[in-house]
Amino acid sequence: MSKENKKIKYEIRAKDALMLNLRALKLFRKLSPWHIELEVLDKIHQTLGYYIGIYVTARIVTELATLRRPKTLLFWVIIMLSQELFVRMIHYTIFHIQQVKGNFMNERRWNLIDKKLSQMDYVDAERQGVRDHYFKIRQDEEWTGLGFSAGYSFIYIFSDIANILGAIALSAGFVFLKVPETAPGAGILNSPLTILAIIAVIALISRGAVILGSKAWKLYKEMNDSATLSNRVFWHTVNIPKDESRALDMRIYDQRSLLIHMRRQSVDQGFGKKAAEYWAGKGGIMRAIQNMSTHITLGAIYFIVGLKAWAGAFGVGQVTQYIAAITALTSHITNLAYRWQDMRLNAVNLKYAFDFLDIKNNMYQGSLSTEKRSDRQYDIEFKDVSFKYPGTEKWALRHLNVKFKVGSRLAVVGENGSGKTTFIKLLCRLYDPQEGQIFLNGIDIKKYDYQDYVGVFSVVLQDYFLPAQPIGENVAGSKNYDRKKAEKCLIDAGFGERLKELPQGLDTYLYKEFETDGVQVSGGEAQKIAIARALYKNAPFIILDEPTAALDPIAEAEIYSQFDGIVGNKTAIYISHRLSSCRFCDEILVFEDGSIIQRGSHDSLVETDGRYKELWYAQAQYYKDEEKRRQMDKERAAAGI
Amino acid sequence: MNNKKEQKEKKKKEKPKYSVPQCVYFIFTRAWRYKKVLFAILAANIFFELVITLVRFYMSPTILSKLEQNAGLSEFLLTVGFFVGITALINMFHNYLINNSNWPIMNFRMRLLDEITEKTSATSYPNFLNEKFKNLMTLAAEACQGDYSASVQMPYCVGNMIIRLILFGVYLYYLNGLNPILVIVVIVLSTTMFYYNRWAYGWGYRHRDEEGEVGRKYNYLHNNLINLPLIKETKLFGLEGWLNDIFRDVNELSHALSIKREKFFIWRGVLNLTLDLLRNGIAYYILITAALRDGLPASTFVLLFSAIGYFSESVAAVLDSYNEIRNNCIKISSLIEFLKFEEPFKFDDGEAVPADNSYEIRLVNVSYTYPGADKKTLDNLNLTIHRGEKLAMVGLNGAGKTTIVKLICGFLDPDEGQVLLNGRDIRDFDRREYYKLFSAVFQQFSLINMTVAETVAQSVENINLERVRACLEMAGLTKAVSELPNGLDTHIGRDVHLDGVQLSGGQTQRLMLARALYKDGPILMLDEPTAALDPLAENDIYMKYNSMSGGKTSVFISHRLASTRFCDRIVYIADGRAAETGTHEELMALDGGYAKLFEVQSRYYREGGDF
Repeated sequence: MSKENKKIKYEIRAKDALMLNLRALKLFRKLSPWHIELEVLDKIHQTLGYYIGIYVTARIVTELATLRRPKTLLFWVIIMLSQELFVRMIHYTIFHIQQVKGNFMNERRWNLIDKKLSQMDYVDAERQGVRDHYFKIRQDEEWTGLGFSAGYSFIYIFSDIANILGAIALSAGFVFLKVPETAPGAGILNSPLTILAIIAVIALISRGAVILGSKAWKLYKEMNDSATLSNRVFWHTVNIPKDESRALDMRIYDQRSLLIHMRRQSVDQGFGKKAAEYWAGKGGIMRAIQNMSTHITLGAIYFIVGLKAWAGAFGVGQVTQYIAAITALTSHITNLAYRWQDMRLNAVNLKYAFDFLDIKNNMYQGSLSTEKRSDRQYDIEFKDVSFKYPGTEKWALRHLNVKFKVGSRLAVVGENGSGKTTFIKLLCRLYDPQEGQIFLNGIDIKKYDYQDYVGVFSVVLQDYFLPAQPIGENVAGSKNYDRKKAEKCLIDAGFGERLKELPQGLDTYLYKEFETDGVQVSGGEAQKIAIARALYKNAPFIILDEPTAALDPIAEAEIYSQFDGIVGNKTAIYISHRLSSCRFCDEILVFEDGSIIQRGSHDSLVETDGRYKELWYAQAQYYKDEEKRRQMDKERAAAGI
Repeated sequence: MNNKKEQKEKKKKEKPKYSVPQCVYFIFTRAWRYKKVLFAILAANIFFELVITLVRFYMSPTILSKLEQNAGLSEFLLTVGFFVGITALINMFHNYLINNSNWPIMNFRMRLLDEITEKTSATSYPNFLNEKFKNLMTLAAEACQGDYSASVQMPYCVGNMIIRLILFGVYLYYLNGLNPILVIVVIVLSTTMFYYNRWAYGWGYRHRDEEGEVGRKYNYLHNNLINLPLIKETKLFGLEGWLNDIFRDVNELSHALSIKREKFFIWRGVLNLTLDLLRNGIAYYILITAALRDGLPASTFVLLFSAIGYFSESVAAVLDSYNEIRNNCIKISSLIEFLKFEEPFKFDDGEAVPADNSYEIRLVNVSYTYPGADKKTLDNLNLTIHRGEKLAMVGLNGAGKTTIVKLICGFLDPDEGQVLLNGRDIRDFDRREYYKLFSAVFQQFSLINMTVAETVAQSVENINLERVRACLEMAGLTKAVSELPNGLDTHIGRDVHLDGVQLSGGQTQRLMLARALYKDGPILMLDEPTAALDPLAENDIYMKYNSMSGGKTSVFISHRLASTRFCDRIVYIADGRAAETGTHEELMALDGGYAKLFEVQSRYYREGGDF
């Protein structure tokens, strides 16, 4: 443990770290061209102004200390003021341009990262590991600035270099101006060895400070890493009571004290204690010494410059110049070292972020077109298809064989977790099966262009999502769309009445999160809009996953009675818990443990002993005619339930 | 138009409820209560910062003057050594102090946040329907979240003001001796600049709605583009182009706003530059003429010149620190206002709930309208739930079922009429005590990231594991829990624990049921508790309902009419009233709304039914 602390170990080699940073800079340049160039230019020219200022101030002081010629003083004052005028004018110009240009660089970068999730294979986007990866990047950036934000500040290395050059130019005289031979100790003060010794001492102190700083930083990081749990507890306990949807539950179960207890345990006892120990102990002391060392360096500079001036090498004017210049020199050399160190430490985070952006799409993308057939004759076949979710042992679907044609009505039923939704996701090629193949018109679906293939399906998923955008755009999934068609689809889906009431019709924004004058819709209405979206797409297959879950019985009956007409000659696939929907369908697939255990029409299945009959009667018993019901009640009573 | 004007005026007049001294008093007394060491830290900080600034001010000129006076080597070395030593030591201590004050400060914030959490999680539920309360809730949190939040900044601002006033005096002393005109010029220029800048930076405040809009829209996309449901839709419906267009539109909005802003701020730069040059020009002129006339040494020139710089800084700084105190106090005022927000319900000042074996709840002539709504949700509703009765409540979406639940449980008080518990108005009771009567499953839950056992018991200590297991069994979760990686000790949810599991909707609903059973309150309240379950699981719950409810007074709310089969009595809610009550047979015979609802649902299940 102590051995490790003695030496800073970087996880990434210097060269690779540099390459990562260059890649990040390239990305920034792509997001906002010329932004970085202007930033560097601005820094360099500000540096220039700074050293001109030091030089001119020294000239004024020198003049005052020696000849005191009014004209010369006036000349330098004018130089000083005009220097300030020009430098600041240029700086303001660049600054305002940068403010406009850089305004959304941050947002664009996030957009790039956010979009990556929808660009990668769905199976990856859904995987916990990938999602954790994303959120870790976000957490690092938002809490500590590590990652791209820190990568950006790497460009200030140019500012340090410019400063060092400027400082060297202004402090050159200090090295070359000699103390008069008559002065006491002139030999020592004039010796080049002395200069070297001073440089060595300053460098040594700076180096020590850098090492100390990085050690303290490492300790801090270790502490901070373990603090992320406390941090999560903190936000969890802070956010829960604010959530209105939790309010009832919180009060009935008196969760107030539970939350405060949790927070005290984790934050006060956990992170807080560690932080207090860190700052009171090693960490705080190292930081304090590190802080002191910069002042000791400053002292050393005063000391040696003052000594040479005292011995008569130069006047008071130069003293101000040399002290300012050498101070700047040491501090920027130290800065450079920190910058380099930060760059190397941050390389880990940059790599982590790029690893995310570099996640490959492994699904094979074919290029065949599905040919928009006018006869809409499509048939789908699952041949011995097996699938399991990555990282799990259990097959979600096993040896699935099924075939269906356009124009039929298909119901998929089964208990929670029996594989119904997985089946739909395979059909829409959100996943590829590990074994077996799926065919569309006899051709493996992998060979089709994905957008083309998925164009064959209109899907309303159980967890559909409607962005807080205009209703019409939500239906069409685009800014430019056929307004008449969108309206018709909304009416067909049963949203017509509400649509009439909306202030801006199709242009009314959904919800209030994006536009504050948007409208709220109930769960049932939202579901209707999702159905309208599927209708607008007008694909030969229409798939509905729990289409009526949020509706009450009357609304449910409406949808059912209209649906046959809406679906027309398309293929419809229903997944539902309410078996009443099955009676519409030509064929029913009963799923259990990833396989189809029964298939057939409602009439045949309800007559056969098996899972379907069981499921059917679980619900139907309550609606059977009175006599049968009483019979059942009696049976139940007899069974002692 | 007129309306807008009025709004504007209203905004202008809107003053914080608590004054600056009241807010300062509040924070300082809270600090005294929670963390007395903060006062020592503040005092030490003032001392260190003063010393550091003054040493920096005197160091260069003093050393230069020693050179000018050709002082002896030892005197020279001593002077340098003195300044260097003091600077290094004081900075070191100051650094150590600052770093070590982090934790006490955070600790102080945590206690304030505890107060906010207390208030938020226990406040009378109607406050949650109050926009003003919700607004204050956000503002109060802002005042305490983060190391730079108002509640911890304000004491520092007070400290800063003290430091800056002292420094102002020191610089004034030097400059006044030199030339009073210079002092006046510097004060005038700095004050002008300060007030101009304050006005200019008010741009953001004046355009806060536009800036808020841009931020809100970016955030919306940032938080939603990563939603799995949207990602799925993006793939299935090819929404990428649309989403890009939306993002581009927000970019354009943001761009237009930033151009507007920068155009405005160009003038700030011009004015700043002009005034700075004016001040420096005058300073050079006065200093140099004085130097030439009175023969001031160069070191004095350096001292005075930097004094001018520091002086003009300190004028702005004094004004600025008062400004900061005021700004922070606006936020602290919201914090105080939030913590003292009026409670319509009685809590500690209420009567104890009478202990009894069973309870009767009666709603008498109850009407209720949600704030801001123009229609009554409940209209003169009368309903009695007898001791030990199992009541089923059915009705269409929006009929008012959930509102009735909120009234029975005491989350809302009726506008007219009364809710009676064993004949006593529930408004008289300590509401927290009243809540203890209920074992409830609502449509929305509050799942805290804890272990399964802790969730069921809603406690982190003294958990009766036997009872937890029995309740899980009753809710049909035994098998699912045994399959979890750590069984009963598995964490639920991934917000806190990375090894937590995400339960499915059906499993969560069963877990909530187990939790209600564990609580074992005398009144059972189930609002759509089987919505996420498949038919077999739903049936399983129905079969067990009798033993779950025992002899309790219980209400089962559902729009699936199957639930009515195992209840003693059914109440059919329509248009905010108890439209029909009775047994299934009675209601069917009535041939009203209930019968129609039953007819529609059973149509598909009856053999030979057509559709």
